[in-house]
Amino acid sequence: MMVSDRSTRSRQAMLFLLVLLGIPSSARAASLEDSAREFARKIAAALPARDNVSCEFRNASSLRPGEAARIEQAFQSQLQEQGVRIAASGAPVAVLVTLSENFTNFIWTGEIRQGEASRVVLMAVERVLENRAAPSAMPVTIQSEKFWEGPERILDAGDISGGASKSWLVLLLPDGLRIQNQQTGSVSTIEVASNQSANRDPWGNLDFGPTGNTVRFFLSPRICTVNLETAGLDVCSSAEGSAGPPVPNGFPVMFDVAPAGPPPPGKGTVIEISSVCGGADQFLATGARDYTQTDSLQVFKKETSGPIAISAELDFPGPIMALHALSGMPRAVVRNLTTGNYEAYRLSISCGP
Amino acid sequence: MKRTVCPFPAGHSLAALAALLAFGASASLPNAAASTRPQTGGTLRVQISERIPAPDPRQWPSAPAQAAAAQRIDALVFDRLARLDEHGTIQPALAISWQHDAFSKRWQFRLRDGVKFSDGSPLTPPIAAMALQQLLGVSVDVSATSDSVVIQAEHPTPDLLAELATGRYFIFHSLEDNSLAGTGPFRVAEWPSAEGSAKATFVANESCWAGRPFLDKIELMMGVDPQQLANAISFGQADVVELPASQVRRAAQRGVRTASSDPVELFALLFEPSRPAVQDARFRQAISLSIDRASIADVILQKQGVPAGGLLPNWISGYAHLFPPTSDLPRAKDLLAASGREFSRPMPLVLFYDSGDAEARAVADRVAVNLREVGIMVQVSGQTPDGKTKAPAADLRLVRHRLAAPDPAAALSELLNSLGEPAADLEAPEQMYAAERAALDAFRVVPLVHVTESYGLGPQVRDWMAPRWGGWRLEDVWLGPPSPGGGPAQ
Repeated sequence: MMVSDRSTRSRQAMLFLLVLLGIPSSARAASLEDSAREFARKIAAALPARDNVSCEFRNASSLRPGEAARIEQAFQSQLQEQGVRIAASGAPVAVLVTLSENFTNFIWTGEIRQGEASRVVLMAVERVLENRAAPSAMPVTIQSEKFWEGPERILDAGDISGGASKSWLVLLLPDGLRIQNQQTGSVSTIEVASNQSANRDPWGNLDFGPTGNTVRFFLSPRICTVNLETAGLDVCSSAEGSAGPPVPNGFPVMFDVAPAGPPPPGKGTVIEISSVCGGADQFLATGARDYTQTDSLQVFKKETSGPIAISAELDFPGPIMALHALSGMPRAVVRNLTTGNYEAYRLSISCGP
Repeated sequence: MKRTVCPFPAGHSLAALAALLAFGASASLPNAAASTRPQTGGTLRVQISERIPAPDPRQWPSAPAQAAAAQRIDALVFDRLARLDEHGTIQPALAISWQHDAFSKRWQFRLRDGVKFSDGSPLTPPIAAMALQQLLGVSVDVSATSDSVVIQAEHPTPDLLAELATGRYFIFHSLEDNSLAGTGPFRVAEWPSAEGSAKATFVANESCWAGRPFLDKIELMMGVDPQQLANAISFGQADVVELPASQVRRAAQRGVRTASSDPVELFALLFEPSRPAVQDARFRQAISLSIDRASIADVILQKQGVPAGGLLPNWISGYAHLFPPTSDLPRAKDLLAASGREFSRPMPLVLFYDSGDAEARAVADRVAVNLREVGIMVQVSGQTPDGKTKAPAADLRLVRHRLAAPDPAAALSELLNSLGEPAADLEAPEQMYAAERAALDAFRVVPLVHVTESYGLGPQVRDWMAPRWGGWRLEDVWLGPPSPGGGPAQ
């Protein structure tokens, strides 16, 4: 068993490799330009004179030529904003900027020369996209617990407690809702006409009501509320606003929210989650592989410099077909590549290992 | 089904591969596309040139090469509170979290639950505290709470965590027979006596908290003649051998699979401050300018070294380009003339090197040749590490320093200390650069080359995913069927 644990981790690590190889250059450009401006301010403050300063740039790092060019441009613009007049080579004050790196950071150096005198300014710039793993001793941990498995394709699932020893397992199917009373074992199915019948990749989600005995669901184009006690459809409305009565309780705010901006490199679906460990702007991300391959989940947080992974990757035995975090209950639907069954996982995201 | 992903110290086989590829390390890698799953079982035969007295963190060798060997061997048996991941970032190991006060004087490490030593006894805070107290010495007070180890220092210790993640700071349990038990992936089954064979045997720790290793057993032969190590692979006598830099190219030409770290060792000349012959900084600078570092790196070390102008290699510091290695014979002669030493020294300088190190001998000889070209006569003298060889007093020494950690501040601090140079605050790059600049501008130490650490690998060895700063992770290695080409089976 322990040996297979090591194998699992090896596969996780291969995902890291894929992430690394898939880094788009635009993802880190903004923060690098910010750093370039900060570095220019440091250089300007160290200059012995602001007139007739020649400036030479050298890229000795893994930055791509386009990135280095943008850094140089931001640097020179900021230098001029600081009142430095840039001259051709041969000026009495010369600055040689080298974009270098060590194995954790970019290291930028500025050698300022005036005659025989010289001064060196250095700055470490975080290499954000390689900061994939949680950098502290208190990483966020994702745990998953499978609570349903079966051959039917499901879009979402939840086990809902109504208090007083009442609980239901609710499965959202492409064409309706299945409700199983956990105490009696009785199963009720509510059919809902959906415009996704011809869709090979249907989509929908559940929203568990505050009272514990109602559930709302979206199945395009409808948003419906169901009473779990009676297994009856309370109200149904068109999400497009074209049919049905007004939606109660502030509908239709029942969709998972994706964070602004593109997903992290190598990632596919992203949804916002309630933050843990005192952080903010955290989100879950799946891999970007197709349905023939296994998938994983990872927690990220948004930083000005770009998304940073704050958890290890959690592997699943197949592709993640749906990912939801509505109702503060993150959950994933996975198709097990070995058994062919669909599986519903409850996800808990916590602080610490 | 409930699955938990927890921080894990040593199982990142492909993570290391990812890091190696991403950072462009010079390892000769197994086929990354191969999807063969690791297999359990087998005995890995390892040969190294160093020999350590025991896998015991309390008996830590002072010689850097021996200390590096001890670090590798002890890591088979023991774990530390924290570890370095493949990016050099500190991650939890036996401690799952830590905190310190505002002055970094009091550190508290919460221990991982459910960890057992290889003798079956549980890891407890008192045992961990006792081990650390012995290793850290009396300058700190180590105590235990119900779930944590607390380290109280008199002075701020901001680098304590980095220190505890490397070096000798392993957690051990002293048994009644005076042996030590660890929590690592292997346990010692046989350790050689001082006089007998130098073969040690390790077997898998079935109850290792981080997972049983793939290998059943490791047979480690220590003290092997470095010149014979490559042959051991060729003749099928070993699966993994440490390769001297000068042997790597030849071994590869003979079809041996090799893996090299980034440059992790510094060859440098260290001047004896008390010797009158080397008091003049211009004279020392002339010596520095006289040395052809490229030929040392390319010819003597067979391109397994890179010329060094600074103390830290660029992959660690990122600013090594500010210390370009310079050879300038006319300038060297001018400096000799200015110092009044041109062609006038009646007695040769005495250069010491480690007499047990053939590569050091070759480098020392090359330095002597270079210095003769500018008129400085040098007597090269082998010296045993314990200094017992009868020889004249040295004017300068050829030192070989294994960098202790990939963290720039920790590596520089340790290096400056070992060279007898001041190492004050080394947090910001500017501070590190200034400290290195101060040491180099005084020409008390003259860097020559940075050298990689290399291994030869047999045809059955799979998942050799050593960190880019050297060492090994044998808990990730497994043995597959031999393949005709010497590489991993497809």
